Amino acid sequence: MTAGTKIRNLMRLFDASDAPVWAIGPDGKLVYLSAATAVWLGIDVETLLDRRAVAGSPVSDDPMDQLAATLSAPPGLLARGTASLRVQPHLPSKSGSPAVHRIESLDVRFVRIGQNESTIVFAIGGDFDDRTTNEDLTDAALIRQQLDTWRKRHSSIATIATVGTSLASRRTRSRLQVAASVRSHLGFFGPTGSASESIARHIHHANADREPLVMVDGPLMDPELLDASIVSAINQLTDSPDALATVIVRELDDMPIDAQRHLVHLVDLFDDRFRVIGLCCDKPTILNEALIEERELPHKLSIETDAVPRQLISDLVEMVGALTITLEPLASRVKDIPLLASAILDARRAAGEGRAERIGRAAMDSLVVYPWPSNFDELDAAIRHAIRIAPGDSIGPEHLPLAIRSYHPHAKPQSEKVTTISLDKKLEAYEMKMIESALEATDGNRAAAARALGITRSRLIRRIEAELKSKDEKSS
Amino acid sequence: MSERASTSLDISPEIVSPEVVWIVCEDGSRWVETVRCFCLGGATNSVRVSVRIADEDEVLGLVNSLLRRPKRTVFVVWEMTPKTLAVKCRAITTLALTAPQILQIAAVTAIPMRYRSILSEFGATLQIRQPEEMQAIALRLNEQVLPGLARLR
Repeated sequence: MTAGTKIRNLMRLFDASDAPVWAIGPDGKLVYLSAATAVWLGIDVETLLDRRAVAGSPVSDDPMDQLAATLSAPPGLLARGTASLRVQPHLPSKSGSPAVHRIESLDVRFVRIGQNESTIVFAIGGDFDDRTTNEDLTDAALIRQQLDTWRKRHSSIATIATVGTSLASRRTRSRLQVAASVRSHLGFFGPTGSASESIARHIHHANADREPLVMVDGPLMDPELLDASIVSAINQLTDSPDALATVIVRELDDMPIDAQRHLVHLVDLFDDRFRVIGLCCDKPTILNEALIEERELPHKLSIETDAVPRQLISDLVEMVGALTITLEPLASRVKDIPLLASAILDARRAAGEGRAERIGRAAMDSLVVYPWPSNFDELDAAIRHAIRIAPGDSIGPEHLPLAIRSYHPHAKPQSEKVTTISLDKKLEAYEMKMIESALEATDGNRAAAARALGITRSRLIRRIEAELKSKDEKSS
Repeated sequence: MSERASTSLDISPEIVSPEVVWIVCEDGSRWVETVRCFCLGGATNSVRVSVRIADEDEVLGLVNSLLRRPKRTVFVVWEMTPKTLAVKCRAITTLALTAPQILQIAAVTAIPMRYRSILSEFGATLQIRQPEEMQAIALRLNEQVLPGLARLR
């Protein structure tokens, strides 16, 4: 070894380490073995210096030569540059007896330094974790692969909210494919925050891109305000018999009844050149026309309003019911959450909102178990929050909003139990069990069984006949 | 102890509510939270569902004590890790031999693909990779498998 000042410090550090380290010189001979190697092998390592440690080369009968050979790097190391091997040295006995002294095996990482004739190899023993793949990265790569596949297959309806592999998302996509291919009235039914508006816009652009589009807030409308809101579209429809227009009505089922009727009237007036895309809650009811008079607006304004069921008039139901798209709540399509979250992250990152490239598995687990009362919109907000505060490549649970990262599910036992137990029936069953036991004990002798039970024979027979009758009734 | 005393009585199946017990055997809390989140999916109101945590050496005893009560179905979720693979495989096999009606689910996130295929040989009926898969599994068990198991008992 070179005896310079600096190399001596390095050797001292190697010797102080508890990991066995050795070096093989360009000629394939051992040039250095650390103190921990001596402890591991249980010999004075000076005796191994300058002995050949080349895999596959001939070895003499000298036990030290054979031990040195077990420390050689695996074949192909010079080409690969690095290799891992579990080294199992053994020390043959000098007397020539077949018994060998086995030394504890050790995981060793071999590293080649240099590529020419001065190449040396370092061998370092210990536990190395880098051979196992990072679960987070593997998982993120798998999700990205699924996302890319989805984007390729569903480019025509590729809104983020429809990403997923669950049955619900596949069903929704099938309907969206139909909706994107034909221009017709459309009804979206789904819970709050299920991104129905963005999907509706996407569908509109897919099948009627040049057609004017008007957005209307259903609950705020009355017939006059509706006319005022869509006046530009109405003017175009009036001016040209070939003109087309679409209105997307938010919360259509919460729109006042007279405004709903006016909307139907407009559609009739322009003979379906005027298209309605209605966004409704997941379970609207059809209005009972007979009760309209009773369900007028309250006479006085109050903050505490009664919960009025969302209703659609039957004409409107017929219209938007021609093609409906049901959006499932996010909590019922948990399988899609990793894909949805990753798709949102991609979009946010592309918009320059943050640096994070992936969502760590722990954060993903938090997203998966959270119930998502506000559905897709809440997930979108959570990812937006996380990407803005995550400093690195990966989003961890600590970057998620407090409500999500602190949520812990608790299985609540079902409240309803079987509480209706008939005591008479239980007594009858017990009585019958006793009778059966007695009959079994007396080999079917009814008189003996009755005596054993302390009852009359006729009572025993009555009881058996009643049981048989009851069984016949049950079976019939 | 009280559990043993109550279950040793000859309880007639007609007077007890059906019950599903999920036993989770893991180091952290990842799978117990997952099970708690999704175990009620598809279960009818008459079924009581509970989740218990146990170490691998406690599972067998716990299952045996639970099964003394009629109309009780037990599902066991095992978190498989490279370090505990051998121990858990042995526990799975023992449980499969002792109580073959128990459905055992192996959570295999942390173990390499080549080891996953052998788990069914030991007695793990289902394998789950990530928590999001549990919703569909629990739903299927509660809606389809549970009525079938109840009929068999």
